[in-house]
Amino acid sequence: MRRGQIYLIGAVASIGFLIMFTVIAFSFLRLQGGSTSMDVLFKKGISALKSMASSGALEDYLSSGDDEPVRIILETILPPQTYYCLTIEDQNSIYNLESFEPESTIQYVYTSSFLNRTYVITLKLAVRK
Amino acid sequence: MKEPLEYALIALIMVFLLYSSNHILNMISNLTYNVELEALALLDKVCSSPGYPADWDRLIISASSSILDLGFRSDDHNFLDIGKVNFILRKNLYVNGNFKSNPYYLDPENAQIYWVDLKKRGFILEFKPLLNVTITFSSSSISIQVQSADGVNVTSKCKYSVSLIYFDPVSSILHISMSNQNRIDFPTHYILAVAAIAKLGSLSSISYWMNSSINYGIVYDEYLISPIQFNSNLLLRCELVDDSLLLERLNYNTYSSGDVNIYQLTFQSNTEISCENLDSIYYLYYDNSTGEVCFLPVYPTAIWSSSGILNVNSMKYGNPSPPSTFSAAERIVKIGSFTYIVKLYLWRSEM
Repeated sequence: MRRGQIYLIGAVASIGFLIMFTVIAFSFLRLQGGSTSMDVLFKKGISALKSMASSGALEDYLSSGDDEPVRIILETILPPQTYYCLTIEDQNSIYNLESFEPESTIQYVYTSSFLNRTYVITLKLAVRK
Repeated sequence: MKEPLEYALIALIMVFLLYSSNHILNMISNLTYNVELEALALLDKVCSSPGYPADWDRLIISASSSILDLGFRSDDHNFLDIGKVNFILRKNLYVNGNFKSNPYYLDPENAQIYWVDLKKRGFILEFKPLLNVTITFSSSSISIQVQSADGVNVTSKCKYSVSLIYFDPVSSILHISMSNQNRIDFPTHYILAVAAIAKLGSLSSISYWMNSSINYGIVYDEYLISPIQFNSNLLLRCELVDDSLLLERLNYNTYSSGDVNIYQLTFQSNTEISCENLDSIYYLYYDNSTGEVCFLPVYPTAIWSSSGILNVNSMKYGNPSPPSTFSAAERIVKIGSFTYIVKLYLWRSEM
């Protein structure tokens, strides 16, 4: 086998290794980026729910049906390009888009001290494409 | 001697390497989400932990200990402690038209020491009232406008509780009056200070208006940090959030003197007041003999004057300004009876 042919085979093998490395690196980084963006959306949702609970906005909504404080908190805490739908059992949903495919769904248990009852709250979130 | 095909392959490999490395670097730069998650975790911790020691605020004032870890939660888990928050927002006292340094202000330069979770990060911690309450003053009236955090005018939807401290030139007596209107007319009175509370359901925010000739002090729970020395017949007017007016003559203990005056409030019976009972919006000291006035607002918020906002409260704590790329996390919290947005800006730093 000529020396030139060995170089050629080595070069082709190098390209193969580079392609494999790049594919693995890309998929790893995409996985990292994708999962953390979902984590951020999820954690911002949790932060919004905790904010509603500690500020009294949830209590307000459950006792009087006034959804304005809940809306203000959702609009303030969630990123601007986010669709949300907050559902509390036996109550009307609070949303900025009636129907969408959720990217993150959070279930939160809240006990109303005023009504002496425990509610399961579901917050569905998606990033506007 | 290499073959032309080998040169071509090497060139191809170089182009491919450049192309792929550019893509990989772009992917890495998009991974700022990790800092965002860190910001969310740090903010969660600082809001849900009282810090260490748990009563670090009182221990600092009584000079018996120093802060070992930053946290702002109060004894009630749903609230942040006003006194603790005031340690990072109240940089100055205001006396005779000049600012005076607050000796208890926690210097952000030392944040790496007392905020143990903050490692090699630049930060700004910002507190903003959720409702932006603007007090506009004219010669014979004050009016209050309110915006929500997203900029919507909610003035007509809010309920108001406004307390007005004024000096009646006819009777030469200091008065406190309450109103639930967002416009108050006062043809003859000399206004000293105003505390305006706007409520939208469970959300509530406060702003102050202060005559710029008044001295301004700081309240840390039951401690008063005053730029002036109170006389021995201390008269403090204490305004309560629940709309009831409390006018009490309070005893005080002087903790130290010198550049500033530190007082600890006690009841007449010398029973120490616990901070849970001190959900006040301000204290006002007025000396009848000298006419000296000191306004001691409890909450960190905007303080308006006839010339606009007085720059006595810094609502931001940390590095002077963030770089062009940073991550941010927000949380809505209750401090006393009022609703605030806490925002943490975080970025990588080589500090």
